[in-house]
Amino acid sequence: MIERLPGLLLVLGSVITEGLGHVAFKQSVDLGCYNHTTFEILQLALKRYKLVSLGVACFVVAGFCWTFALKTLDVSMAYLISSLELVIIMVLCRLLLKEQIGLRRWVGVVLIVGGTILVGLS
Amino acid sequence: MEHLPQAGKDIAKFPRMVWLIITITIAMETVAQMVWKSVVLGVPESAGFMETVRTVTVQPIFYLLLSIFGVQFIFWILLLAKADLSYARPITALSLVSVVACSVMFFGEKVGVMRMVGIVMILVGVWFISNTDHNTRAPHMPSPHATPGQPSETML
Repeated sequence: MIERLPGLLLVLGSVITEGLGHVAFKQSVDLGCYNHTTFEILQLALKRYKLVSLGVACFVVAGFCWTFALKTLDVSMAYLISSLELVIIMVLCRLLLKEQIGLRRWVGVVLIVGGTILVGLS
Repeated sequence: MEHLPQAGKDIAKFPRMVWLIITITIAMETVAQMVWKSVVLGVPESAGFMETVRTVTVQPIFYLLLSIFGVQFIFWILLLAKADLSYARPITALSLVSVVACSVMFFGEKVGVMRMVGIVMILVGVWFISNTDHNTRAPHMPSPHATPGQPSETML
């Protein structure tokens, strides 16, 4: 178990940094409302290039963590833990982005995470 | 007038544009995953950090993957500008279903009962999420055309 610890931490790190990367992307195009043209959206993303780069950096770090986690952990184990990513993202959405996640959305997420685990196990 | 909130609605109006982008994103994700698999397969088991980086970056297909990521990024940004992250992200789990479908079609993989159940659960889960409002924050936000080009600049 103890020799698996670095791998487990790496997977966890990869999952959390990926979640934060998504939040950074979301923030970078947060126009306050959802009815802008493609041009306006891309323009804003360019203007907030710092947030976008932060997001990209998060994904690169996540990719590295994931690749190295797989060196000490078997894929199925890593995959199981990474299915928690969705839950982490939902929590980040609630806390950082103030999105309203109702019961129905949570039920959907639980089903998807469960389904992901079943697909991964087999 | 699509952006105006309707009091007490719980079945969201089907956001066609959002779903078009979601479909493209999922298709690209499927391709990216297949390509990524073949890139990683080229890395020797025992490779260290620098060797891994080297083996990955000498493969031409890696640059194909990077450009897929680039295009995917643009679609993802467009999607996030139109929908909640907590709406869009769970739905992209559908790429898992398409990856399994592709594995069956191209590699003749068998799908067991457990995997079948998993896929059904994902589909039902996505159905649940698609029945929620795709932008839960919109009601509190000003109309886009009242203040064009004036997004809140407070987060940087």
